[in-house]
Amino acid sequence: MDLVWGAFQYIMHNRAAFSEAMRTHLELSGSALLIGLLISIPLGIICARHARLSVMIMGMVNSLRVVPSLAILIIVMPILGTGYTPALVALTILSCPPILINTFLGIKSVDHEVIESAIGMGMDNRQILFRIELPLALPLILSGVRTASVEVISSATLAAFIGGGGLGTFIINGLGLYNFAVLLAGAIPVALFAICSEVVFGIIEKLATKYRQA
Amino acid sequence: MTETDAIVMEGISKTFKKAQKPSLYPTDLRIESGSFVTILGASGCGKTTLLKMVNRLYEPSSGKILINGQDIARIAPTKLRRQIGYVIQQTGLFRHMTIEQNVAMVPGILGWDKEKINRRIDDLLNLVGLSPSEFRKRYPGQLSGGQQQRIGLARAMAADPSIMLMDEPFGAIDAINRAALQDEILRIQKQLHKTILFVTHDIMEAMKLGDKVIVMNEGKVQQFARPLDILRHPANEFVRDLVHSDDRLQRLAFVRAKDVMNTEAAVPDPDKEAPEAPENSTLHEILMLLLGGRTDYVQIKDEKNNPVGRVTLKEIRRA
Ligand SMILES: Nc1ncnc2c1ncn2[C@@H]1O[C@H](COP(=O)(O)OP(=O)(O)OP(=O)(O)O)[C@@H](O)[C@H]1O
Ligand SMILES: [Mg+2]
Repeated sequence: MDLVWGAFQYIMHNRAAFSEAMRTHLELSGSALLIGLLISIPLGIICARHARLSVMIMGMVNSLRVVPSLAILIIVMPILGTGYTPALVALTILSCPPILINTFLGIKSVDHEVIESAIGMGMDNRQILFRIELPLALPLILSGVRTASVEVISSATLAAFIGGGGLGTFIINGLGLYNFAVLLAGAIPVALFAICSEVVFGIIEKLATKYRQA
Repeated sequence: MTETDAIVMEGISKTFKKAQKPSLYPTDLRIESGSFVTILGASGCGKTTLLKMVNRLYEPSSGKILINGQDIARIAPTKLRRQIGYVIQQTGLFRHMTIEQNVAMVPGILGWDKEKINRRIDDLLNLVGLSPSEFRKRYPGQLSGGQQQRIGLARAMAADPSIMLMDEPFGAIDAINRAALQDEILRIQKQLHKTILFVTHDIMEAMKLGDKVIVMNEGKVQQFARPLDILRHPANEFVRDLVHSDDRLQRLAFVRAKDVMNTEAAVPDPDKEAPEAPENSTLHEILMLLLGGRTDYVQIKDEKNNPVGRVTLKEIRRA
């Protein structure tokens, strides 16, 4: 408890640095997630339409998934150097697999008969995608986004290792100084953010599947 | 082609890619406007293939199809499909949408105004026997199988298509509900004069519903005729075996009162209390009434409850 109190005091004494780190952390995670969404959802839809392409991309993505986040950060360093941008790139790469895979699976799992009757009643491809396939895939897509958000928020901590800033800076400093209060000043907010995003996306997911609980 | 033909098929056939033989051999058919035609045959004989070419879910390998005189190959598939109702066994309801949203889909795409769509939803739900106030806001998952199929039917009729294609719509429904749905679709067809193509592999259903029946086997139409003609004059060995035309009791289940009744004796006897039956009753049902009643005839009445004829044992023997 003393440590938590110490962390709190440390934050109060370094308010400017803390809020700057928090802002960077959230901005980094949010941007990575947003870019990840913009890449993964269309790509997932395309994969669901083209069997051969999907085998290739899904294979790639699945192998990407086993690479630890720290490794991805370190791999981009020699290519993009250090700082905010490489951290953003690494986190974006990290956010893609769960969203991409779930979009793909979500669209694939829409019943064949539902699509057939949609075509049979004269809906065009766009209408089928936006009114039938995506809404039916939404619960799975959202659960992918939830996984990605937790992963990105916690991995954004590691961005500090390549000079990307964020709450990870406190953790690194804390480790360096052997000062656990400083370390916790970074670690506790990160944990809270991760939990929050898990809960929020969980609620959105529930709302999106209202028709199932009926 | 005459003006009364809703669907005309000229030499249409279908051979799927990589298939060794055609799923449908070249076929000519004329479906009269406002008629209820059932397509009967065993699994894999090409019923669905035939049906799906009418709304271009499949493109024929040869031949052409005219709908109300127009070659469908020249109509954009989505436009064509919006004017043809399509009902399948698995219903294909959109489970993330309420019943009203399901029914409103095609009218919405066609750009009807809200008010009109709203009234249409109520009318359709009433038509298929489901109370709008109770069902509009429900999701398909909250309905029984039979109710879901009623919604499937309502949705297919939403934009008031003149032609309906139905692929084993009642195939997954229990016997009691199926009979109720059959009566319902008959009533609706009588009321609205839709042209209906209805696939089934249940011979009772085909005979009960169809003004005419298309009997199919191995990708070929074996016979296309009125139920009674199929019974009396089966076109070949296959049809004969299918309808068991030598089994009298079975036959009585297919023949309807209106086809054999004595219309000269339409007026009921005032001093006799003869049992009454609608003109669509099968002779099987009439025979039961005769056996249970005290008169030697059953009084047949039309939809408006006017007496139109009588059936005695004589007519039953002749059937
Ligand atoms: N998309 C397809 N690709 C290849 N072959 C097909 C396709 N659809 C149907 N067939 C073949 O065409 C034949 C007729 O199939 P169809 O679906 O028309 O039968 P059906 O009479 O509707 O049978 P069921 O009562 O089982 O529904 C079958 O041999 C089937 O295997
Ligand atoms: Mg079929």
